[in-house]
Amino acid sequence: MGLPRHAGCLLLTGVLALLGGCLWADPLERPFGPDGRTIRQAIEGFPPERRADFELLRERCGRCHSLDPVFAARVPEGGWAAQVRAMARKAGAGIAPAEAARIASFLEYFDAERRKTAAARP
Amino acid sequence: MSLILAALTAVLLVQDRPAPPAAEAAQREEEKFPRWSVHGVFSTDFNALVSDRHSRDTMAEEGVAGEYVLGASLHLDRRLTVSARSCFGCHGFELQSAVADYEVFEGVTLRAGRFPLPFGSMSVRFLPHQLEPTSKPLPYIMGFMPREREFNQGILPVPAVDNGAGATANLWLANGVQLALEAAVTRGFKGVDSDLDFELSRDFEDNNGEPAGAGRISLSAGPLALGLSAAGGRYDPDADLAYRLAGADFHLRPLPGWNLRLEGAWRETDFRDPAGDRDASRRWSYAAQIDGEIDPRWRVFVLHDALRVDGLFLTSAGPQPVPAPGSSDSENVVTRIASGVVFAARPGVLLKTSAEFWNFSDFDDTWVFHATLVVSF
Repeated sequence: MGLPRHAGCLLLTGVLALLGGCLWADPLERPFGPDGRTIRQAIEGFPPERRADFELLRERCGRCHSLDPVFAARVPEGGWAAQVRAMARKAGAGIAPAEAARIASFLEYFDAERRKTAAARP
Repeated sequence: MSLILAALTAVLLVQDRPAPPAAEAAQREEEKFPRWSVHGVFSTDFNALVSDRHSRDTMAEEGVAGEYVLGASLHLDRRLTVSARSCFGCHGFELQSAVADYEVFEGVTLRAGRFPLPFGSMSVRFLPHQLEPTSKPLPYIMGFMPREREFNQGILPVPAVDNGAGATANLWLANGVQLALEAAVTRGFKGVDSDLDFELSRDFEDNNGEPAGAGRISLSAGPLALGLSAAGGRYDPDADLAYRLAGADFHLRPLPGWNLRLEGAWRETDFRDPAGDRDASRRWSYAAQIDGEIDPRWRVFVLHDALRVDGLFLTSAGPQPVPAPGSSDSENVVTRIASGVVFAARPGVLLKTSAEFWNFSDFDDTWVFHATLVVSF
């Protein structure tokens, strides 16, 4: 049951990568649309109340999954409310009904902005 | 179980329902039903197993293994959702879940159909794109395990789907503090003797007409979540041999995008010894994982987990009540250390790589290497 040397090396490598990552973490630099902005830059340009809704999304949805499936999802216009509500129903989701509405509202706004940006492509 | 049901009833009685705020009210006006959503997760794993050639034991999934999940949800109105999910993978084509969820009122949902048993934190989080490692933690491992036949998996392979009915209540105790209660009555796991048979348990029909139960209580507050779970039932055709499960889990998010997960689970399973007397085997398992984002596209993780099986002898035909040629003794431990990286090539496309070192008390040490492509939408 003693830890063999090579397993110790593997563990050490992982721990060093984790510690390095703590100093280096930085979210959301993927492309928003064809205008070259990242998702983070696009959200920074949103109105303050939308930015607050995004922070709520990040906090609540991040409990169970990363933001990757959120921005990969292709949800038809007007479909986010049902989608987020279904997830908020899960036990321990930690999303209050009013918060689910704000998160869905942000995602509808985000998708609408993305569509506008794509349509404006020269 | 009765405690959970009593608490659930109390929640039904005391749940406070304030008027919906503006954003919610606006959505109520705008929403149109019925509404469909479709999701899929396609995962293909390439792996290699390295151990001493004279005692090499292959994994059932060695070489290449796939898990292809396709699901759909139909939101019939604000309260009723019907969803189904199919999986094509190691066991062929399977209906992973088919369930109707009805929100009786805000925070309280009833469900019926085929759904994951409410036990442990991984009852809602088990798809390949939700997990950093390719194989699941030992308490809940399903496949990708050297000596899987000998150990008969871990405590409870997830997703542990079963047919039945259940209820969920999400109660807000204070701002940001949520208490969640889940309870389900199901058909239960099946087996003949010695241990549960998870292959047999996937069949739809019951074997003994005896209901089984599972319940979970969890508390989440900000970056912290705690959970306790219990389940039990009888697994043999005569409804004579019982199984009992208990588990606890802890989840902390110290930084955005970073997680510390600790989970432990225990199972006691009755069996008959060769003299026909009742005996019980016991399993303990724990898992500790740290994972986090080191870059927008890169995540890293370190997982350490262990499993102990006492009271049965492990053979290539599975756990047995008596020793056989080549079997282990009646105290068996496996520990594992795994580490790896997850690269998000683009939203919805992940490449997961990992190295796992398996240390067995009664078998040779084994390395397993994974490279997994996961596409989700």
